[in-house]
Amino acid sequence: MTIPSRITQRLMVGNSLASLQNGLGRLAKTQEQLHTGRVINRPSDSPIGTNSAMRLRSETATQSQYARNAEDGLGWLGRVDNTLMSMLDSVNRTRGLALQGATGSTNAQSREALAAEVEQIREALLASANTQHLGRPVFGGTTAGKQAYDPDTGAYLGQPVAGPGTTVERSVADGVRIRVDVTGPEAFGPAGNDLFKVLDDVVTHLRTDPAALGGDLDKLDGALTRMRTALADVGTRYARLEQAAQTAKDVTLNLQASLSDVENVDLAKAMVDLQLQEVAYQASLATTARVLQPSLIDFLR
Amino acid sequence: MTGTFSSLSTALSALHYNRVAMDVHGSNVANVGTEGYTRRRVVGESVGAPSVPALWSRFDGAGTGVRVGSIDRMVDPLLDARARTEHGEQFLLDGRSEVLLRVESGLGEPGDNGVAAALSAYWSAWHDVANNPGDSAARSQLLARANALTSAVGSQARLVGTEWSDQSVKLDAVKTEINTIATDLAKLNDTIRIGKASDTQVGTLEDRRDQLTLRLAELAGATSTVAGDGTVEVKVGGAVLVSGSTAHTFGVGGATALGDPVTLSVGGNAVSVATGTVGAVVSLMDRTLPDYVRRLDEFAQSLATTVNAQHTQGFDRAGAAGGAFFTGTTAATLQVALTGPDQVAASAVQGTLDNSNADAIAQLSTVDEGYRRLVTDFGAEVASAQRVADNQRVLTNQVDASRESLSGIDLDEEMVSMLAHQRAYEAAARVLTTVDSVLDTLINRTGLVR
Repeated sequence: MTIPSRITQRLMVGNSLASLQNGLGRLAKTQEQLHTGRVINRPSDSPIGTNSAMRLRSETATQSQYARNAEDGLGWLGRVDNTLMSMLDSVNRTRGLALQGATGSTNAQSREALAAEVEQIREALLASANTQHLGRPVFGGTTAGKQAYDPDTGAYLGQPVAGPGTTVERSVADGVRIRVDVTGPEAFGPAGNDLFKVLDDVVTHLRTDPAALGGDLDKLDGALTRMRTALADVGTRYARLEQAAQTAKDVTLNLQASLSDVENVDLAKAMVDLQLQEVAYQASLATTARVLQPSLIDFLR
Repeated sequence: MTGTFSSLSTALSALHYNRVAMDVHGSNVANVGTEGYTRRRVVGESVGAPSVPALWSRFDGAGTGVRVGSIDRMVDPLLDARARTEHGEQFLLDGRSEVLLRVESGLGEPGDNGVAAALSAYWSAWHDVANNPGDSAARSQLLARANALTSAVGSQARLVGTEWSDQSVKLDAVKTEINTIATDLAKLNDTIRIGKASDTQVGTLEDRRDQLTLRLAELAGATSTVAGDGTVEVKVGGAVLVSGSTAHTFGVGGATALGDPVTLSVGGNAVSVATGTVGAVVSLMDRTLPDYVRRLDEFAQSLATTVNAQHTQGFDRAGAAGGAFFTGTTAATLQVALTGPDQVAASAVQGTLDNSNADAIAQLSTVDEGYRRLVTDFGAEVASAQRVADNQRVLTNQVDASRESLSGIDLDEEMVSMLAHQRAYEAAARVLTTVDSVLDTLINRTGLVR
């Protein structure tokens, strides 16, 4: 501000007050930034920064949600993976039993024992096929029911894959959905001709028609292959999910760093600013005190 | 030839003049802190020959003393007019930025408690429903977060609405003040006119008059013209508010709810006011606040429409087709339409625990863009209002400093003037003594021979 030619006491008082106010205002601003730890405390502090901050915040929320979705999917797939692995062992064991029954040296009594064991295994396998994850049968697709297979008849009760909306999927990135389930028919064969039907046949043939066991063995091999394929598929998807979860977490970290860049105060800079403003404020206080005191009256007798 | 005693009266005039001068300077010192007081200055006039010489009234005096010519108020009408303009502008900008700042603080953006955060939580809840479409806890959480979102949006609309009502009350208070001042000014005009005509000192009244016109400029951007007889004519928005001893009524009407335009009138004639506190209030009530609410409404509507469109394509937990998720078309009326967690239509296939509809809704979060733009634009408006107000403050201070420089009282200067007049008084007294002694010589000693 330019100084007018004629100076009065009130002008000086007014100017001093205005400078003190300015100094205090700047001090308060820096103090607010230090208190909140943020440079953007309201949109007008930096409209563009506000936009970035809001975008980064919502993107951070989305990405961490994607990470959670992927983790959730990993739980589901992990359960499928474990179940299939243990079922594979049981089916292998059944194949061994059927092979034993198919050899001519086995008598009817032994075959009956074998049949009883296969029956047990079949029941255990059916129970495994009804494994639940958070209350939902993992091989049941999108079914609203609690079971994928009828524990008595072995009929498929779940939702078969038939176009969109019939598989369980998780969103793990923008526009990326990964399937996290394997339906019964995919893992154990089509309804009516599936693993449990084959096991039923094995039991029947062990008791009545050992000669037909050869055909059953082929079918068992087919079932094993199908299960292994399903397992490999599950493994691939598991890996993809893990990768997606990691990516989402990494992106979240990056976004948080960016948000901090935009929004948070540079502590060193703020402290230096505070010091400077404090010094400036003290200087103007001192000046005011010295300038406002003297007057001609002090020097007249 | 002048008379024998004329020198005495010359000295007496000097004594008188200097005493008046010291009175005036004393009064200046006394009023050094008085708001609105303008510095006075005594203008002395030497008494001399009559201005119109005539044949038989020749002036043959050789200096006949001094008299008080006038006591001037040190003001510059142009500078005063400028100060009124700048003060009006300052009050407009300050009024606007003060309210905008307050509304802005109420938004709570950017932060963890605003509408943006509620939106993020809402979309997140849809993802959770997509992860567990059969879980009624996830569904309940979605409804809770949706309710939190609608109340956050609604409370923002209410915040702006409250500010609007506050401004409406403020406008009423300002109207009353303007009318009071106008009445005072009309009375003052009368007093000043009569005072001037009878040649009495009206300086104090004029100070008061200038203060009132400045206040009117701050309140309503009033322009004032001082006539030759000392009365002032005040115009608001081009219409005469005060003229001579008549004060017209400044009226406010129209606005009863947000969105109604404010109407202003002076003496029954509609006027528009673009500066001063009134200008600030009117621009906020007519433009800024309704604009914000309109854009917030647009956002609420687009949120409801977008979500509803997708939601009605799905099926709820019981297998029924999904209904509208939100009701209401404005920010204030936006509500969650669903009454129970089972009504959330997460599935795209009837009767299954499919999650694709929930997932599709979770992907709609691009609607947020509208809200973000709204907040950013508002922030930019607030920032610019503050910047302009700060710039204007520099200008206003400069004009005020110029006025103070002219009209303000410098104690040092008053002291010096006072000393000068004191000395002049002493000298005049000495002249008196000298003349007295001369006359003593003439009267008592002349003709005596010792």
